[in-house]
Amino acid sequence: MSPTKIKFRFPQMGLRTALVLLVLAVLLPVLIVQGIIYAAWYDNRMDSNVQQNLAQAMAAQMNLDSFIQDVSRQEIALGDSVLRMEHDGLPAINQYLTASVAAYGGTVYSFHWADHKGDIIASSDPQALKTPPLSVADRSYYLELAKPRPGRDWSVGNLITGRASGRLTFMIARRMTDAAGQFRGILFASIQPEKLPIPETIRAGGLVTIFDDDGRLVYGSPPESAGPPGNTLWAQQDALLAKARSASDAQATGTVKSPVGGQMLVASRLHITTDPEWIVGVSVPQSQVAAPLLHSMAMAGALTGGAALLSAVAAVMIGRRIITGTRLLQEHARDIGQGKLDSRVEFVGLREINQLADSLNNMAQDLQAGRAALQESEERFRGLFETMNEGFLVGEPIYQNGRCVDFLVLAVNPAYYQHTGLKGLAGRRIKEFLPDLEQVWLDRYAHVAATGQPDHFEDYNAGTRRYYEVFIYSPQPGQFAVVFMDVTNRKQAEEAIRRAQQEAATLARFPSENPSPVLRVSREGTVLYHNAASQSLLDAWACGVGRTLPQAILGKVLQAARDNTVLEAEIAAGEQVFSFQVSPGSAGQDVNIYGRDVTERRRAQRALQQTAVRLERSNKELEQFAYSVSHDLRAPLRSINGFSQALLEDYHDKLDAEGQGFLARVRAASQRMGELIDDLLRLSRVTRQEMRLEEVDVSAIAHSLADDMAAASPGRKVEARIQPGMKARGDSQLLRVVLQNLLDNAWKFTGKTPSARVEVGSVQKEGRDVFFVRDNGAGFDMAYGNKLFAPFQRLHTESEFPGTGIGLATVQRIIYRHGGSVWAEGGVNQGAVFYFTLEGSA
Amino acid sequence: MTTSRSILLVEDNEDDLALCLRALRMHNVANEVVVTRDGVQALDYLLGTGSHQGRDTSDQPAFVLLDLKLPKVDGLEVLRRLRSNESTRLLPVVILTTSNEEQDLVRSYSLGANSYIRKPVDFVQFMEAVRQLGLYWLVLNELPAKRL
Repeated sequence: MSPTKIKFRFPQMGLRTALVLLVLAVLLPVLIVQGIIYAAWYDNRMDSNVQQNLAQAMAAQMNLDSFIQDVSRQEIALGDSVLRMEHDGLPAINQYLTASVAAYGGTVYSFHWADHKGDIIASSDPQALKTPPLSVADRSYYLELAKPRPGRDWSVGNLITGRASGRLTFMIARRMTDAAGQFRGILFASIQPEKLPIPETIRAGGLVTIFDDDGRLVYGSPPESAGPPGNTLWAQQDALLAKARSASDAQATGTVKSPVGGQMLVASRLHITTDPEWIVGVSVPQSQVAAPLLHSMAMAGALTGGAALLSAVAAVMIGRRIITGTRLLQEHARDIGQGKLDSRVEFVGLREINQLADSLNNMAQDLQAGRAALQESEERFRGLFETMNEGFLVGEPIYQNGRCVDFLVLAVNPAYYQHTGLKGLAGRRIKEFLPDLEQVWLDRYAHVAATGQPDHFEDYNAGTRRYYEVFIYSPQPGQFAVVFMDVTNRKQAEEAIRRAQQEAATLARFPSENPSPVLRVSREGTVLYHNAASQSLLDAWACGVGRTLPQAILGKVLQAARDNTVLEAEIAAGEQVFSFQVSPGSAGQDVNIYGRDVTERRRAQRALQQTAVRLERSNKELEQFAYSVSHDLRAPLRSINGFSQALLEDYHDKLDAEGQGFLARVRAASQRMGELIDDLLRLSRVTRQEMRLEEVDVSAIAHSLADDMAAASPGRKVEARIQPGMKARGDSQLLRVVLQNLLDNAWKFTGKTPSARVEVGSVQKEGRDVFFVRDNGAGFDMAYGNKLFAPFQRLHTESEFPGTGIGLATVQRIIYRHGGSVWAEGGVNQGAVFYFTLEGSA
Repeated sequence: MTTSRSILLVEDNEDDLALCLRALRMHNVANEVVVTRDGVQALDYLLGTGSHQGRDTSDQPAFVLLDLKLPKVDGLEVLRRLRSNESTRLLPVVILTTSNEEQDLVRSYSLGANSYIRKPVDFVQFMEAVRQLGLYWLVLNELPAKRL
């Protein structure tokens, strides 16, 4: 068997490496997908945080705007009231302003009135009323309002350190004009920035910062994240803030590094409406945004890592099992290879490996069985070798100068020693025992050993005066085996036959008196000699001595001479037919022809054949006839019967009792004729039916029939005696019909006999089985005995014993068909015995 | 009798025909009895061919009483042709004949006869046979609802 080609070659790697690679191959896509998911999630979360910050910033912006507008509107009312109270004196105005501050719960620190020159002339804060008065003429809010501006008569100042309070504050100022439209200075509120009304809900949403025109921190919550009030760290480092400030209506979102604490923030920056230079910002730490993400990633990572670890452990365990299994199988295979065939491998758990182990076990078992069979066969042949009658020797030629000079005896059996009288040959050189062994034998053995061509011959040993048949073959290259047997007895028998044939040939040299034709012809078919009985034959052939035989037999002669074989031929000559034996003479010379006149025999055969054909034809005709009888004879009977019945039924009243009686007779007669026809058909069927000869258990048939009859007429008591063990050769169906008819009769004719008895048995008469059926019934007069078997012949009236008289005729037919005979003995009221024999029963 | 379907009687012997009809009548078989006198007629009737061209062959008799010995086409051939025709393949056919030759029995049954009855010579027995036939094939026997 050629080794199967492996089509796919994988890189050489260990099972463990392969399994680890497999785990990695599964793990890698999982990690990639996780990364993609988290990135998307992070983006989404950032986005939503930015939007949230923006919304918070808007809320803060709205609060701040509405506060500033509220204060500035309040200042219109305050301004008007102050001007109206002018004649009440400044102290009253100061008192009024102080009361107004209280309404703001601390956010507004103080209200001040600065006149048209910028000097504070009235205030809720006593510290602001100094002599000379404090001036705000240099402040931006005063400068903005001192000159009238269409559409805007109020202003929000930047964060400053208040001159009266010494605190960080910013001013919300309003221009004051009297009824005549004269500029009367400004009314302004000093605001405590840390108390700006930013609701808790917004502050909880993150870091809220408010910056003034210069980017100073006006408000920061929580303060520790925003840095000290008034700082400009943000303005210097917050890129988003710069971006928002650079565009008047823009909003800016993104991440930024906090200048306070340095953590990354997700931030939004927005202008306020009341002073477009001011910016409100809300931000949250980026770490806060990423926190749930990181938590989730940690969870997923732990799960993936756990799964990877489990897979790796499983891979290592499976790998170890497979490696252990394969190592076991390896060891097992090595055992088998080393011939330890009783080695069996245990099951190692994995199905495929178990199947492999199973196969290996089976293989070992098969090999073991094979080896046992081989041993057995070896023993068998060893037994044959030891006990065979033929001498057997295995040898190996020894060469010298390319010529076989001796041979080493490898094996030799007891019969060899017996035939040769030698001893102890095994392992020795033959010349030690037979120094005169002829070279021709050695050459013969060497030739077989060298070529493997077997050799076969017969040899006469003058020393032992015996014949040997010798067979030499080569059991394996370079060796030869000699098998020889003593055929002296066979040789002697052959010699005897040869001598007898010679004698017969001598005797046959006198054919002249033979009444059958004997001719001797040459191998070419020329008649050399013929005896007297051949004359009529040669006349018919118009042939004679020195002439060539006619074509009809010449072919046979030539063929017999060529093949040197005896041929038979049947040839017509004139009116006669001869059977010839064409026999080539000894020494391949002349040919003898022995003839026999078979004219009469052939004629008889032909006549027999013709008779058989006629018989068959007549049988066919009989069959046809029987068929017609069955059909055509019955039809009119049916009419007779049927219409008689119709008459009886339909014309009952028109017929007297006698007429009805006549019709009843017509019907009875037609019925009886129907029965007769049926019986006749049955009889003819017996003749026509094909016979099948076999061994028939006569006793068994008789028993079953007797049982049937007893069952059919339960009212009767008939003693049936049946001899056991009766056997016959015949057709079982037909023999059953015989016994049925005979037993039927016996039953019937004992109908009026008290203590009726029917007997079936057999006796030996002149070496043949004679079966009989005996009864003690009505019997018959022997004077009519010869009529018994004729069809429709009856010895009793219908009223005495019913019947058609066909039964015994049937019996006779069947017995005749079996080549037997049937006869009866009896006397009136003395019972009857019916005997029959069958051809085959000895 | 419960079914109103007809009976087809195939019989060439006038006497047998008369007796058979009488037997049916006496047993009050009210079904219509269609009579054909040879095999050709019988086949024409059942297959709607020849002289019965166009007959509605979905209206088939409840059963056929078929004699074996018939002019033109004999009973066995009629049976063979009925069995090889899809529309009469399952039609019950009762062989009613004189012969009780084994070969006729064997051939009838192997061609698919449903029953084989030998006409008895005795008319009383014949009547009994016809009575049982009618009872069996018209009342007791069940056939597939759709025979085609």
